[in-house]
Parts: sequence; structure tokens; C-alpha cells
Amino acid sequence: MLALLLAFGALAIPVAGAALTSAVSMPGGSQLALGAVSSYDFLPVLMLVGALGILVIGADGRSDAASARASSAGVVVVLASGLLALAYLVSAYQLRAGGPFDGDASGEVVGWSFTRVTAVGSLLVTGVLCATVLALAARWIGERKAGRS
Amino acid sequence: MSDLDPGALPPAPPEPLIADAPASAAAPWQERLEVVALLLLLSAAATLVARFANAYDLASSARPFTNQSADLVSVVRMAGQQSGPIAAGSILLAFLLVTLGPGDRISQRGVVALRAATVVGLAVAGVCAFAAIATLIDSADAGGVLGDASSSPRDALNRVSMAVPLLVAAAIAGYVAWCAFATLGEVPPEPVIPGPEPAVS
Repeated sequence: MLALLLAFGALAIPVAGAALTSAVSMPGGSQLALGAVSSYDFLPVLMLVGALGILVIGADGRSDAASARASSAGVVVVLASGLLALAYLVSAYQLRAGGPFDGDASGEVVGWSFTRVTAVGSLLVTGVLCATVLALAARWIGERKAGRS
Repeated sequence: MSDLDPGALPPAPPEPLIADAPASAAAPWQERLEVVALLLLLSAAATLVARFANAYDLASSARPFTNQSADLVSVVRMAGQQSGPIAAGSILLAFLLVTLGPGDRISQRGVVALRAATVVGLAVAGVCAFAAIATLIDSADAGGVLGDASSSPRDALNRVSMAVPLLVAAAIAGYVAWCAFATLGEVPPEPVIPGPEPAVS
């Protein structure tokens, strides 16, 4: 149940962030991905990893009802991690090529400053982490289905 | 000797938590969770560095007409406030993934994750503790020093409310770093291979 709640939270936070920033006009049409990433920052990623850990570590000795909830949580983890991975990687691409970091407040092009390099790097690493969680959750679901049949 | 009481036998020595065997001996999901823990630690460290760079940029741009460099205390305070609690949570989660994983032993990749948790945990604890003390002593948002006659009770409450989460994050990160270091201490010693006997002349 806790894994299901964490997975739903990790799915709801970036969706809410993207919806809140959908009305904001930003260059390059990057408001959806950046809104999904910037809302509550790193917290949905922590919730995702925690949900995956609960699913994998507590796999033994589950009742039928708990097993059904775990399967649902696995599906939600796949959805949320896919959404977050896409948002982080798209944000990294936007910041790399013509995103909001492209110019400062006066409109001058900033270029590859240290701030921009570290921001793109952290977005890339977090996107890879979310993609890894996506792959592991999908594999966990596949192994459960193969074990039942 | 066959009629010995089995209860009189000495107990078997406990198995070490960290495997000295090859990594393939551990459960596959243990190794996969260790990869996730490594990525989580890397992501937390990268986010912390990005926050430092952003805070330095902001502090530098706040003094455009002076030749003074950025105020490093405010840089650390800003970076700690922005990323300290989340980074502490990441370190705690990575440590739990490695040590509570489904496998019986921690593989070599898990050892690397524990070492990274020790280093990153100490760094996060230091940043959070410094940011908390700097917030308590001197804040950019409110003038004066905590306990000073010029600071109102509202300012003091504001500072304490900002500093307490940082202090808790520093305690969590420091304690997890200590736990990871203590877990690393369970590595079994290298087996001693006897060499040839020295020749006696």
C-alpha cells in the first residue's frame, strides 16, 4: 500500500507541475518538461526509488490482495518513471540547445557557463536514474508474470 | 566422538555482510538495487554541485558594480537550503537499498556505493551544518544576529524555522555516512597465502 501511495505521489507531482506551468510562455515550448521537473524538484524521484525498493525487497510472503496492490504499484511506477525520465531528458535537451538559459535578463547569450553545464549534467543523471527505475520496474512486472504462468 | 551433544558445539561464525566472493554470487536484484543506489548518489551529488554553481552565480550577479567576489557564506547557505534535505534523503535511501536488499551479501558494486555514501554523506552533512549555523548567526533576509537586541522575535522564529530542517538533514547525512563506514568495516581480511620457507644456511 505504501508503494502504491508513493508511486501515485511520484506520478501526480510532475503532472501537476506541468499543468501549472502550461499557461506560461517560454522559448522553445519547454514549459511542460521544465514544469514537470521543477515542481518539488527531486522529491518525486525519491518517491519512485522508494516505491521500487519496497516492491523488490518486500516481494516474499505477500497475500493475494497485497500482491494485487503491488502489481498495480509496479504499473504506476512504470508510468511515473517514464514520465519523469522523459521530462528530465527533454529538459536537459532544452537547456542544452536554446532553452531559458540561452540568454540572461538583458537578452545577451550566455553560452556554456559552469552553471549551465552543471544544470544539464544533473538533469541528465537524474533522467538516466528514472530510466533505470523504469527498466527495473518493467522487468519486475515481467518476472512476476513469468513466475505465475 | 559421535555421541557429543550438538548443543555443546560452538556456534558457527556469522557470515560477513560484504561478499569476498565474485559479484555473481549475490542475488541479481541485490545488484540491480545497488546500481540504482549508485545512480541515486551520483544524482544527489550532481544536484548539489549544480545548486552551488547556481548560488555562486546569483551571489556574483548581486554585486555587479563592485569588484568584490561573491560572499561564500551566502553561497553555502543558499545551496544548503535548496538541496540539503533532499540530498540527505537520497543518501539515506541509497544506504537502505544497499543494506536491506534481497541478497544475502553486498557485492563489490555495493561496496562502491557504500564508499560513495560515506563521502557524499559527510559532504552533505558539512554543507547542511554550515548552512544552518550561518542561517542562525547571520541571515541575509533579516538584519542583526540571533539574540541581538535589534532582532525581533519574529526574525528569530524565522531563522530557527529555516535552520532546524538543515540541522536535522545534517544529522541524518552524518549518521548515514557513519553507518556506511561501519558497514564497510565488515570487509573480511585478505586470505594469507603461505609463501616458500626461507632457506636456512
